[in-house]
Order: sequence, then structure tokens, then C-alpha cells
Amino acid sequence: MIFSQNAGSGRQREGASLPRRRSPWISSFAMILPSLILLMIFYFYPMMKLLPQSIYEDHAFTLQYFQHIFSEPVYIKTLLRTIWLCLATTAINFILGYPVAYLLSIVKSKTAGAIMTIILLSLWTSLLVRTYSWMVILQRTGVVNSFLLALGIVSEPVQIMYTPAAVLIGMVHILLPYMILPIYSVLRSIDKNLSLAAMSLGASRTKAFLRVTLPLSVPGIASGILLVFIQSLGFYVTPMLLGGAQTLVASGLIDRQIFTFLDWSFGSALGVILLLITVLFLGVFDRFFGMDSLQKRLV
Amino acid sequence: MRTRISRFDRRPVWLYIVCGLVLFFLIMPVLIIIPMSFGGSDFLEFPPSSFSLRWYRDFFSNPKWLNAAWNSLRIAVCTMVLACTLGISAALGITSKTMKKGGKVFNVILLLPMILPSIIVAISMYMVYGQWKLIGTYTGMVLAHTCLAIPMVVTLTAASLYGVDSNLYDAARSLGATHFTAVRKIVLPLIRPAILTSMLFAFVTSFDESVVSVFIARRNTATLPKLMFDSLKYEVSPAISAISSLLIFATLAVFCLRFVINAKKEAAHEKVH
Repeated sequence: MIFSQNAGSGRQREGASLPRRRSPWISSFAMILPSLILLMIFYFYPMMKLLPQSIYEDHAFTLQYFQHIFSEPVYIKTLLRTIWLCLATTAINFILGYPVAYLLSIVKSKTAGAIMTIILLSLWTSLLVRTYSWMVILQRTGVVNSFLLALGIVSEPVQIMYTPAAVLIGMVHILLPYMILPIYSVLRSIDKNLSLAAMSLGASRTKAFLRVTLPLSVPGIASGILLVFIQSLGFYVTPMLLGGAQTLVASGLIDRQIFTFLDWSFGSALGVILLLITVLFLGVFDRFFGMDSLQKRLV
Repeated sequence: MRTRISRFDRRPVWLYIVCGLVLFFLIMPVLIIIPMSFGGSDFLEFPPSSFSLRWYRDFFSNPKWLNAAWNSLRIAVCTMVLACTLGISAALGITSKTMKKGGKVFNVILLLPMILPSIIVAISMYMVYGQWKLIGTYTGMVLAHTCLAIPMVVTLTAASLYGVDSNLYDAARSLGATHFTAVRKIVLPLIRPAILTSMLFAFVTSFDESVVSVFIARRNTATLPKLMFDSLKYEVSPAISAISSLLIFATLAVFCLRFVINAKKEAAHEKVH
């Protein structure tokens, strides 16, 4: 979905698959191996190094860094702020994204194509460009403030930059496509006759939606929530630029520990906490929907 | 059907209004930046009071920015080649029937770099690449970006491979082709549109990558996103609007390219069926 533009076309064909009998298991494995080795060495190995880094001090086991995080009110506050911002981003994205996904699934394919172009154009615009746009729009002399001043709603510029609101606006804007696309991918595969049948049996439009379409779209909603929440947890560029030091989130705290205080162990411990939250979410998702279903929602 | 139960088919007006507003929210920032980049004032203003190309001139006469653009381009091309070679090969392996259950596990492993939070990736790479002397090198940048681009390539190519009729491969094999000949002569040409799209996305993934680059790039290997981030940390300069607009124009160009590829994809589909 994130890649394809064939809005409105039907479900993807599945089942038929490539090399069947003659090529043995080992030759297929050999084709996966190079990617696997590269990722293991240059992606997963560094990530796994975070754990020993955070729990060993001179080759002795210690939990002091984790204790440090949870004993310092400032750090707890930052972690809670991060989680709060991520949950808010996810919730707002769901509220804004579901109607768009729903509309996409019921309009003619030409209209859907136009809507899709807007969504994908936004998604594929550089993250820094989008963050920069929001800095320009939200700053003291920015578009929002000029607008409010011109209308006489406020008498002097409102401080929006460097507040949680600015971070929230930026994160919602950047992650919105990740909510819309998986939900749409499920909605368009739902048989329209089901809700028509419900309505012909006397259900109102609202009831048919709440009892038929909405429950059937749960896998898409779950994928959207997973993608948005996990990505927002690790957001770095946008909170750093829109929130600054006043609205510090976990990624900014990690950055500060490593670059300002050169405290690798403490930074790693924070990274491990974020990773644990991520793994927890992925585990729950895998248990109920299966990780491989996520991939289907992306194409 | 539609005429008979048109009562059920009426779409609520508020849905259109809400969606219109959301779509405006999505596209507005992009639309605001372009006119601003042509402003002549020292400050950012919207709408601009005078027209000028000074920010574009600034960009094209500043060796630091030009070098960053050149770096971005070089690293993105290398990433594209590496990620597509490895990723397409992996997708062929994963979609093969012989993989059975194991394929799923590998699939998830190859998908993870697309999902895991970027800050964790960035600090862990910064730490370990530092020990390996890869910080501030092109090799380090290309390797890191390749890890992030492989999931895109695998996902895209695998999806297309599932749609290929396996009888075509079997027919080639039964006529005496080896596995690799059959893949090269039959399967790969059939998924060519997906391969082109994969190349495009691998390129864009690297070109746009910011978080890991901010950590592991140094002055000489700085890419555009890294330089933009560093300069925006200190001030919201109007000069960035010109670069941003250029990037938006590049995205638009990529979009047009994708339309062409998609058209080809449809043509290819018609040929098969």
C-alpha cells in the first residue's frame, strides 16, 4: 500500500508461488543468506550490543543505569511524556485517518486515485522538508500566528514552537499515511454486499457500519496503530526540531546522554527500554494478527 | 444494484468535509514551502512580498550544500544497487515453495528494519560502527542505508512474485532450463515493473534517510538531510526553503516516473493474462 498506487483495484492474487519442486530448500536459503548476513552484522548485531552495554560495568553485572532512570523524576517525566505523545499521536491519527481510509474504499477509483496521490505525495516528501514546513508555519512570525493576528483572535503571537503541541502536530502529520494505508488496504477487500445485506435487513447506516464494516476492519486498524505507535516511539528529527530542549522526548534524552554527557551506558539503557516496549507491542500484534499480515498491508 | 437500493448508497456530506480537511492538512505544508522559497526578504514570510531567486542562487553557489547533494546522490545510488541485488535474491528465496514455514521467519527478520524505532538503530549503529571505524565513511553510510532499504525491496518484489504463475517457471524447467536460467529469462522479466519500483524506493529510502545519517555521517560524508538537520537546529533559515522546494520537485519527478512504471506494469499484466 505504501508502495503501490493502484487504488481501487481488487484484492491481490495470492497462492501461486514460484520455484516448486526441483530447487531444493538449500538453494532458496542460499538466496536469502546474503541479505541475512548483511543485516545480522550491520543491523541486528549493533542493536543487540545495546543490552550488554547497559547492564555491564567493567565486566560486572549491574542494574544501576536502569535504577538511575527510574529514580530520577526528570527521566521518568521524559519517558512518560514520550509515551503520552506517542499514544496521543496514535489516537489522533486513528480519528483523522479512518474517515479518509473509509472514503477511499467507497468512492470511484478515479477519485480514490486522486486522494491516494495526495497521501503518497505527503508520505514521500522528505521528512526534513515536512518538519521544516511545520517550523515555518508554527514559529512566532509564522503562518499560523500571522493568520491569528490578522483575524484579531490574539493580540500578540502565541508560542507554539517548542511546546508539546508543536511536536504532536508534526508527528501526527508525518505518520498519518501509515495509519490510512493499512486501514484502507483492509477496507477495500471487505465485500460491500455485507453491509448492504445488513441494511436491507433493517439496520441503519450507522449500525451497519458499527456492526459489520468496523469489526471487519480491525486487522487494518491494528496494523496502523502498530506502525504509528512504534515509529513515533523512536522519532528523533521531528521532536528535536519542533520540541527542542523544552519538550524533550526519549530520543532527545538519549541524544543528550550520548553526545553531551558521553554516557553510553545510560543512553543504551534508555534504548533498551524503548526496544522492550517495541518488542512487547510486536509480540502482542503477532499473537493476534501474525507478523506476516503486516507485510500484506504495506504493499 | 446501485439504483435499486440507492437509499443505502448515499454518502454522508460530513465525511467529505472531514476528509477534505484532513487531506488539506496533509498537503498544506508542502504547498506553503514552494511560494516561500521564491521570497526575497531576509525573513520567512507568507505570502512572500517580493519575488526573487536568491535562495536558489545561494544553494547553487554554496560548495557545502552542493557537496551534500552530491554525497546524497552517490550514497543513494550505491545503496540502490546493493539493496536491490541482495533484496531481490532474498525475495526469490522467500517466495519459493521449498521454503515452507522457514520462509515466514526469514521474512519477518527481513521486514524488521522497516519497523523498529529509528533512534535505537541510530545509537546502536553509532556505537558499533564507531568501533569498526565506519563513522564518517561512505562504506558505513551505504551499509547502514542498505540495511534500511532491503525490507522495502523484499516486500515489493515478494508481493509481485506471488502473482507470477508458477507454471511458467515449471514449463521452462521441463524444457531443460536450469533453475537460474529459468529465473533469469522467465521470472525476472515478468516482475520487471516491481524491480524498477524497488530500485526507486531503495534510492528514495537512502536519499531521505535522516536519523541514522545524523549519527554516523561526518562533515565530509554529510548528506542533505544531515546538513539540513544540523542547520535547522540553530535557526529556521529561509535558505532551507529553496532546498526543500528542490526536494519537493524531485519527489514530484519520482511520482511521474512511478506513473510510467505503473502503466508498464498494467501493460505487462495484460500481456500475461
